[in-house]
Amino acid sequence: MIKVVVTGRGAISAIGNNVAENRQRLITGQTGLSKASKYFTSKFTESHPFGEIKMSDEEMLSSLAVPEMKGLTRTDLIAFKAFEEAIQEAGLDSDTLSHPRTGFISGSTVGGMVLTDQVFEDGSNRAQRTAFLESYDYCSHTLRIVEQYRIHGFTNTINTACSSSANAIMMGARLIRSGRADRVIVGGADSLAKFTVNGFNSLQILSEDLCRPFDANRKGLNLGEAAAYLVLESEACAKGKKIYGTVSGYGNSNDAYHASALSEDAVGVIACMQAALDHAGLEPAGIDYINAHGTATENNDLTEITGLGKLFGEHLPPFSSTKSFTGHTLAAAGALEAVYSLMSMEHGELYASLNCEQPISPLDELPIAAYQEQQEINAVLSNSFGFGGNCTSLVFKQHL
Amino acid sequence: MYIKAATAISPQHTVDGRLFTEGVTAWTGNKCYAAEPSYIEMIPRALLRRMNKAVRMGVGAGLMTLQGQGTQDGIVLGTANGGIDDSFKFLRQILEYDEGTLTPTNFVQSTPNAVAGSLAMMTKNTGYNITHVNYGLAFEAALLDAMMLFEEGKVQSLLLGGLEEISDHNFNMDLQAGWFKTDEVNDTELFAFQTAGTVKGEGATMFVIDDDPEHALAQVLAVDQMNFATQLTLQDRVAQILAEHAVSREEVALMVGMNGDARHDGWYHEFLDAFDQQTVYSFKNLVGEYPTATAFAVWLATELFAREEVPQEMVLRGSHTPPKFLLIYNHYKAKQHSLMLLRNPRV
Repeated sequence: MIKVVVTGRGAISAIGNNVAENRQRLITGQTGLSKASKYFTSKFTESHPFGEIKMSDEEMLSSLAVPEMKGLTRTDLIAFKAFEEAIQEAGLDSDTLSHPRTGFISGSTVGGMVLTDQVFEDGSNRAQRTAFLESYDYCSHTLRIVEQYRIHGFTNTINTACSSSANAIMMGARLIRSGRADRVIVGGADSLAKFTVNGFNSLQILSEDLCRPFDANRKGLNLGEAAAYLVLESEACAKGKKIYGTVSGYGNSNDAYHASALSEDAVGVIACMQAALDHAGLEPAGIDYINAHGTATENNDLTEITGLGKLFGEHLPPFSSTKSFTGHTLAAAGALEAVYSLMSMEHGELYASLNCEQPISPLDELPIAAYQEQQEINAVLSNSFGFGGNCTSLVFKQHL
Repeated sequence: MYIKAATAISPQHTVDGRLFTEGVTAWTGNKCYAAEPSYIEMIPRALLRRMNKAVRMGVGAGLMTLQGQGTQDGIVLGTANGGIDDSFKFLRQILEYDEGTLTPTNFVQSTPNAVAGSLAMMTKNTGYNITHVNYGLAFEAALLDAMMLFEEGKVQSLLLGGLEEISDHNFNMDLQAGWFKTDEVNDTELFAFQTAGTVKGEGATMFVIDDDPEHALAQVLAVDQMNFATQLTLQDRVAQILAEHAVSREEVALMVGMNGDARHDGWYHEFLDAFDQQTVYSFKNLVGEYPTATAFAVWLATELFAREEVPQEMVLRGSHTPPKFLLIYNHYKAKQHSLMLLRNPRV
């Protein structure tokens, strides 16, 4: 069996413009969520906290190694930023990136829809310029990266809503295991957009307060923006490189219950976690930390904690929702939280879940209350659940 | 991996088989709208009312394909845009009501995974579920995903498909970017018109695929994708695929994604120059161009495998006899290229 290892990581979110900055904020316990967003314009920015990346589009463009490119949306820009960091860490040169056995799989739910007003104008035949006409699709950011880095191997974009990049990681690992690829860069990107903010508000799950994952009195989610990528390589190709962990298990299932809510009995949630554990050859007791989906909506957290209770019972390991730092970054969440899961193993540390005081009954389990170091973390489970009933769990292990 | 059942909702009368009994339905203009069946028997009214065209066509074609096929282990779909028209409806709401109190239906139904999600919900399928959205390679990615699931021993049977809808806004975007013809064309002239651009199509094509060859309509032998292709790398890849499956060039019929865009049809002409005897089929003169049109091509292949006679419009070169193997070559906007090799289990 080919082992799939992680040799590079890139991340940009509300708590940092690179992986190291993200980690620093997880250690100090400072959320990236706040009201009065600087770059995102919406009626909701005064009343609602968002997890905004602390960089303007212009700053982002000038910080990138790519030459002048036209028609880049914020989704594209943050994707480039995290992608660059990941390939640099893994030491992938341009020949390796263009090698037919190097692939790229990304997820996005907003894509170019970030330009809400402009999309509408252009779609109504009132395009002022043509640079953006092909920037609006879910896969636009993927195609830009493919074009820029001349990726000749397998390329793909996945949209399973909020589990998109978790599925990108899963598919990348499967491609390598099947022998079809030697390395695949996997992850996702989503920027803050009026489209999603109004969408979640219309569903009445957008909170005016800081989100409180797994608190009995939670009031909904905060949206954030992020991009995160991992470089996955077969163990043979990674020889001599620093390895941040292995992708050891994955499970994908559908809850088959409701278009925008999870079932009370957590069918899909349990099925994907169980499949991921089975695939990794682990019993529940073998998991040392769970990076939960934990959006802080009434429905998600109740279902997730129910599923965790049923599957883990008395072996429930420490768990947290880092969305209390970053907000829900939609398609990017799976990959961003994969980066956090790998950091947790590398440094032997556990990250807190902020703003949780009162546990959800009847399980009455509180998430990690404060940062903890000097822990032995050998295996981490990371959950991602999305609209349409799409559930995906990933298991990362220490590389031995 | 075998195709056991197939349904296409398309601009042709493909659901009821009239495409083959009455012939090709003519069209004019630069949009080929799907000839949708009635869904009332299949989809509860309350659900149907909320569904956009993409969801409706996808769910409808999916349910029709699943009839009498037992239970599946998962749902694997490809669509570049899903219910994109609902996205624009929601954008309009945002702008018109200045981010006021909006109704969530358009938002929820606009996500491309709404089709796979709805099908899972309606058929109580809790298995593997995914939606690939990589434009002109979305269906090919679905096919490869399915192929790997079978290899991994994770599944025995799957619902697989591709779908796309025409939305005015989406059409306008691509029109302004120069992807559609502005002159008056029709189905018979599409390939003859030496102008830039093509015509927009739509449809939903669904398959039940299985690891059991019994009563199979087709066997999927290979699927491959290429970025930065050249004629040389394309032909290399064809030779590789044929060799891997021990298929000789003489045994293969071809199907190409020619779409009448004078700027990019050269890819197909040059590709075909490397084959001189083989029968060549076309499909975009029947259904127009859309990112997951290759799903329709695979459906058409299952029909060509089974039928002694087919409408002449499908035959671009040579004459039709049910081929032993069919190689489908397609490119989307001259950037995303794909090859698929199918075997006819009847020959």
